[in-house]
Amino acid sequence: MNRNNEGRYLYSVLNRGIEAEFAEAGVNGARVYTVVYRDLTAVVHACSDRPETADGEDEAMEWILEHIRVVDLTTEKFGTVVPFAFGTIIKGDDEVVSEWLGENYAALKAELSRFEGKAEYSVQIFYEQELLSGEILKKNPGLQAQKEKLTGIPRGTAYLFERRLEQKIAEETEALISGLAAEYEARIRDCSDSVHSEEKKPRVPEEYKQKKLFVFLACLVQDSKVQELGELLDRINEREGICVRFIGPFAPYSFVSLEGI
Amino acid sequence: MLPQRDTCTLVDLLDRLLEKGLVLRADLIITIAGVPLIGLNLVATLAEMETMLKYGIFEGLDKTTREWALEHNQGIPFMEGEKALDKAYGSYRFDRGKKTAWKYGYIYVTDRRIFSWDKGLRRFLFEFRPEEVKAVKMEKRLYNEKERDELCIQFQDETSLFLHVERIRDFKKSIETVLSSFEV
Repeated sequence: MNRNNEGRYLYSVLNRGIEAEFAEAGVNGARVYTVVYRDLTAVVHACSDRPETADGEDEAMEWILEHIRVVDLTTEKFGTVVPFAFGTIIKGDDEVVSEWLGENYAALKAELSRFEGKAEYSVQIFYEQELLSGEILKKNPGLQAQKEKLTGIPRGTAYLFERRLEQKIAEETEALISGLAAEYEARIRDCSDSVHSEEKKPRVPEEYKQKKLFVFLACLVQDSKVQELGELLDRINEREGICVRFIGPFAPYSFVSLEGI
Repeated sequence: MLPQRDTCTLVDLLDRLLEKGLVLRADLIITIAGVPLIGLNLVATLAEMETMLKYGIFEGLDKTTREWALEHNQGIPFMEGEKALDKAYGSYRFDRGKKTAWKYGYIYVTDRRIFSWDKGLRRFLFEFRPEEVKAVKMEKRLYNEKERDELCIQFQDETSLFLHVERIRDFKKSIETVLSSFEV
């Protein structure tokens, strides 16, 4: 392979110097090995600088799973890593990778020490409109009385009153939810090292599709604090009308930031 | 509560893998507008249009599409040298053995054919040439319990097309003009 059209597919950077070859295959069956610079290691496989395109969605999915597996494996064996986005290829051979590690040594080291002993988790909190509406009605005798008045009045008038009542309940729900969101987020922050609010709507399993997401966070959590976070989420989950998804651990994908790299 | 990592959380990982993680300096990495080629297929299937546009993948395609639409939306697909004689907005209904519902659209009469064109969908609703027509006549028919004039175009194959437009008598004349020019 000519150096000019060589490339290295990147999986992760480890916070120690380890020359190794992995028994497990990488993306598309590639041989995964490491490139070391001092006490930093990049996990790579050799490829051409013209990225391959997966043959259909199934194969692309397969490749992504393989990427995840290698990142998880390196995390398991060598502690927290700096993960690369899927499909990142550096132009050049091992020497170029090593140079790149050298050039960004300080930044990578700082980032890796920030991640030491931590992992990323996703927290999604949903509410069920109907359950919360019911709760609001129960707690608010005024609204309850209005609802009871609806029976026995002409249909046209009832319709108008019903709409007004619905709107009132929606407003109350909104207020309740934004209060809960602030409270939960603050408590989750207390257990986490760093928290990002996610902007994009997540893809969720079928059973969550009817529910409304109101807290969606990526949390960087210390290993020793995961249990505490889990217990907090349990308490939140116990509340009527609220349910929690707690997912992870992931390599710190949402928290990697190397300005200028 | 213990954090979950199983197949149903795979999607949670996808967002991370495809949009997050360390990204290299542009001159070192080979990607198309931020999305590696290797992942294109999957991204194309999973990502919302917005994300795609953010990455610029569709920009080229989108531009071409828009240009095409501009070019084709502007006008009606007249043939070269074809002259429009009349145009009306109205409703039409085919009678091909069984009754079909009234549909709406712009109906064009040209020196070569009569057709209706859906601008939004850029497709012909119907199209026929004068040779296909056997007769054109005005008929009084009931519509919503009221009597009204409808233009009935009978084709050689015994099917019919009913038209209803605002200036129905003028429109009939336009159609007859085209038909007569073909009879000669």
